[in-house]
Amino acid sequence: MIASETETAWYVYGVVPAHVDPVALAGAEGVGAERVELVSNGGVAAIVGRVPLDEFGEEPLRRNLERRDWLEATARAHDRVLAEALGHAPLVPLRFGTVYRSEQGVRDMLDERAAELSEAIERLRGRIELGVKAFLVEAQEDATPPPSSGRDYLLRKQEARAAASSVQAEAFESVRALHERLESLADDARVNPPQPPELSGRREPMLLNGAYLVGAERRPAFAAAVDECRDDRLELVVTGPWPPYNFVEREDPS
Amino acid sequence: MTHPSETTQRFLGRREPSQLPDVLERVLDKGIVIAGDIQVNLLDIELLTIKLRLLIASADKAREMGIDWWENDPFLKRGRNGNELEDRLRRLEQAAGIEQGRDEG
Repeated sequence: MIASETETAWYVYGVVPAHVDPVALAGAEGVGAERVELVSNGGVAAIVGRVPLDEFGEEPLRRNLERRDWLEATARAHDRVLAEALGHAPLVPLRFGTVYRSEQGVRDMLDERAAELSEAIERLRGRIELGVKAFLVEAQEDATPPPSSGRDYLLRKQEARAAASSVQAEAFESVRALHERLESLADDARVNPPQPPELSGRREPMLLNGAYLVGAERRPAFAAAVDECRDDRLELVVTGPWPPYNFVEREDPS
Repeated sequence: MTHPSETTQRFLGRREPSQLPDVLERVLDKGIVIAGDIQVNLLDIELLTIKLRLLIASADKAREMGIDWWENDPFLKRGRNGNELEDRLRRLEQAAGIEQGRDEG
């Protein structure tokens, strides 16, 4: 090793069973463009990368998190490593930014939490997370002649509002039906707050931001169910497969 | 008995490039929380999410002007408005009392 102990930190991506062949991770490049490796203890193994402390130490990390380009690149790398591993092993994803000062620190953590992590791994085995977002598609406005009077204008506005709210109510109903359908195909489901337009990057309101834990073999059935629920009022976007980010935080961290 | 991880692999396929908000939402807000030796604490991450929203909200105008920046450049580009955004963010943070320890130029 060229880097001395004090300059290296261990970034932890997630936890897999200890028997996983490290070759499975060979293709993944980590948050510091490092090669990803496994640190095993107690029947489980952490997917780790050695990263420079001057980038991932407490102060630099705090600073770097303020940099949009750095955050985007590292957040994507974190996800990429886990998505790669997901193809080879059941895994428990860790939240972004879990860093240890030594390999021993990682081993101690595994030792301490082996039972809980093994249990989570077994619960997630063979399962993937799929995201489904539903957007309310705005109806095309008809070309109508200009209002003949102020009263006419107000009436039309009122009608338009009423129509819009009934469209929205119908859409909400469709979304609820969609979610129930998908939930019935999934082992677990979460409804997250819809992303505001500033985040979703779309003007149309997001009506559903769901995450579904699905047996991998059920993915085609899940996709078919989504397709069956498509209508011209709703645009449905399926994302993933994701590592099961939404299905690991069960205990109260406080 | 099937072999679950093989099954997973078979149905995993390739995935489309992910939208950044979907990645950030999961990577920053979900996933199991384990206190490392050097871990940005939860409060920081919440704070970060607020910041992201502010930053992205600030770019809303550009999109309204027909700049489809989200599609072409998945995250906010450092553009000519960079300093303005930073300044605005700093002001908002100070007003909200959520920023500390940043040097004032």
